[in-house]
Amino acid sequence: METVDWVAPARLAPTLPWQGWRMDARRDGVEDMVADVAQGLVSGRTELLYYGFAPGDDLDDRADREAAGKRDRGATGDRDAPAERGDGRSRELLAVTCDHSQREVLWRFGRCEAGQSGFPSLAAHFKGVLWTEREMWEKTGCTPVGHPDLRPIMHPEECLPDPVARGAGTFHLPLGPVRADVSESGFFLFDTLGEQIMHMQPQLFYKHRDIESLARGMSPEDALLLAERISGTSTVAHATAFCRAAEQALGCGSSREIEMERVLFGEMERLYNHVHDFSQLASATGMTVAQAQLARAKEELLRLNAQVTGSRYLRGAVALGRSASVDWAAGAARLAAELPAIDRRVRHFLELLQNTPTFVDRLRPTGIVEEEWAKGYGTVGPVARACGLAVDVRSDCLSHLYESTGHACMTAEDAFGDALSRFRVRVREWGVSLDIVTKLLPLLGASSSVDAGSPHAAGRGIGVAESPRGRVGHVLFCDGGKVVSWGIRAASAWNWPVFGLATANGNIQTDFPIIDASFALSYAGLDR
Amino acid sequence: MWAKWLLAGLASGRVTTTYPRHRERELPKYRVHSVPVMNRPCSDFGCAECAEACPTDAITIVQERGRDAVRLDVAACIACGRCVDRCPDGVFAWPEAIDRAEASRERLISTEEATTHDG
Ligand code: SF4
Ligand code: SF4
Repeated sequence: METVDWVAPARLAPTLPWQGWRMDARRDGVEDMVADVAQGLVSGRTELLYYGFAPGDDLDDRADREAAGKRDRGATGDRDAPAERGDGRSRELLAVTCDHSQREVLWRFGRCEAGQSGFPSLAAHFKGVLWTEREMWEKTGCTPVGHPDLRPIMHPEECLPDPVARGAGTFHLPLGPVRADVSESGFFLFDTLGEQIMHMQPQLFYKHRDIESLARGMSPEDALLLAERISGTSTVAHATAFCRAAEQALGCGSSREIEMERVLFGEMERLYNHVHDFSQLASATGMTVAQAQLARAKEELLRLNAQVTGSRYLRGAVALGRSASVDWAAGAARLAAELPAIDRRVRHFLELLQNTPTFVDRLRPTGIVEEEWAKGYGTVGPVARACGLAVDVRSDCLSHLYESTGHACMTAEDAFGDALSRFRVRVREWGVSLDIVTKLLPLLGASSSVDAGSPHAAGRGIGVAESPRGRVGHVLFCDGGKVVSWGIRAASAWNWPVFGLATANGNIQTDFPIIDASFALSYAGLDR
Repeated sequence: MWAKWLLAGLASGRVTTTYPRHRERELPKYRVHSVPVMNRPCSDFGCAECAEACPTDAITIVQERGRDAVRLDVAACIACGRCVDRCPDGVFAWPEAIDRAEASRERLISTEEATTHDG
């Protein structure tokens, strides 16, 4: 494939979700680029939407790369360090940042010199990409120079974390990867002193599917099917972010009607997720009646999803460049008829929970995320909003899509950053989501599609959406109507690195299920 | 407070079923759910519509015991439903419930003749 200059302005089409925003691209030497991006992030002026490698000639042949990776690990027998492969391939870093005050999205490309086997670490300045750079290092052998915690992350079968706390009375408790219930697979290493948790390290990537590479060469329509399956409980958010990125890359854009449906599906997704999280918190605190009743409400919402769209998890609802195949006359009537009863029951149990001292006392002050961490790690979603940070793409970037319904970013009133604040943020969001759905229902029905765009154009796009867990970002590069490169940033990828810190923040072992439930992290989203 | 919880719990009555004596027949009502099964032999391997439509190559047309066979590897299936929608012969169908468990990787692969344990 001939080399495409991705920085050229022609590679980027303005689309509806980014209406009113300026999009720009810049290529610098990698040192300058990392320094600039770090400065913007540390000062709080910009927000990072995506960070990784840009498509380059090292990404073209996946089979070759995998074979090389196997050879490297096999030949050295060294599980701690992927072999250096500074082999003259050209490599570029990519950071997509957004500046809310300027309403500008900036694609920063940082060129590594040929043969350069390392790049300056962004994680040395901005902790939100600590895990990301470990992954980039392990995948390519390119070293983030100055990274404060460079360890393998992607192969738990070969390398698990080592205990940190040592000395008399310390105890090391491994938990997982198989755990109670139907939790996803994750391994947790607790260093405890008596009941007190001194340190906790999560290890994921048990469910790594390498979705980004699987999609290479696929049509965006097929890749959308993979996007829907990145994390089942954020199907709509990932599908929406992917479609927005793809529509920009293909130059076809979307329409008001299409976006309105996506907003609706996104809120339907939030409703069942939040109820699930309430139920899990009730379970973690031994409130069995609330757990069962809220789980029942979740099942009712899933069935409602299926009746309206054909899929319990709303798969197939978001389509590329066209409206959903949904009969809105029947669907809207059903939603309008059934949602109020579910809402009444959910609110009743939330009210009871909030007035039950044994529930409230267990949540406060459990699993506190300090505001400084929330900012420093770039946390998103209810975890960030529970610390009082108004981080929500619905009001940050996409506010014009919510013009007809209004949307208020719900931060916690007390902003304590603990499990109770996270619970209360979700309680407030339950009301907001329901309100948006109710206001949208009468407006739906007009089906719409957009011109498919030029199938042979080469272009790039960025799409964002607010999943129930926070901001999801997709970056897509297309050429000749096929996916060339795809980058996925799930909401949980921002929140996982602070989870260990919050767990060890003055809590005891029995607090863990509560912290776990209040974070409501997705494993599959990070593993992807 | 506890009296309120007790009343709230009792007020809903029983809403669960007695599985497996009474199974919920929810799934067949919906368009998308679990991984498909092959419920009858294919009569026209030449069409290969299923293999072409499958986005993850979970379906392939293979040679088995000297003749063509449709091979379905549900480990690679993402339950998109294209094969169910597109096969002109109705070979693929959705199972009635999600209760399939296999003890080995090989058992997730079925070919047209080996479908009797499915469903
Ligand atoms: S689409 Fe149906 S008829 Fe055609 S090859 Fe596949 S199974 Fe056979
Ligand atoms: S449901 Fe989709 S992924 Fe699964 S076998 Fe059929 S076409 Fe392939």
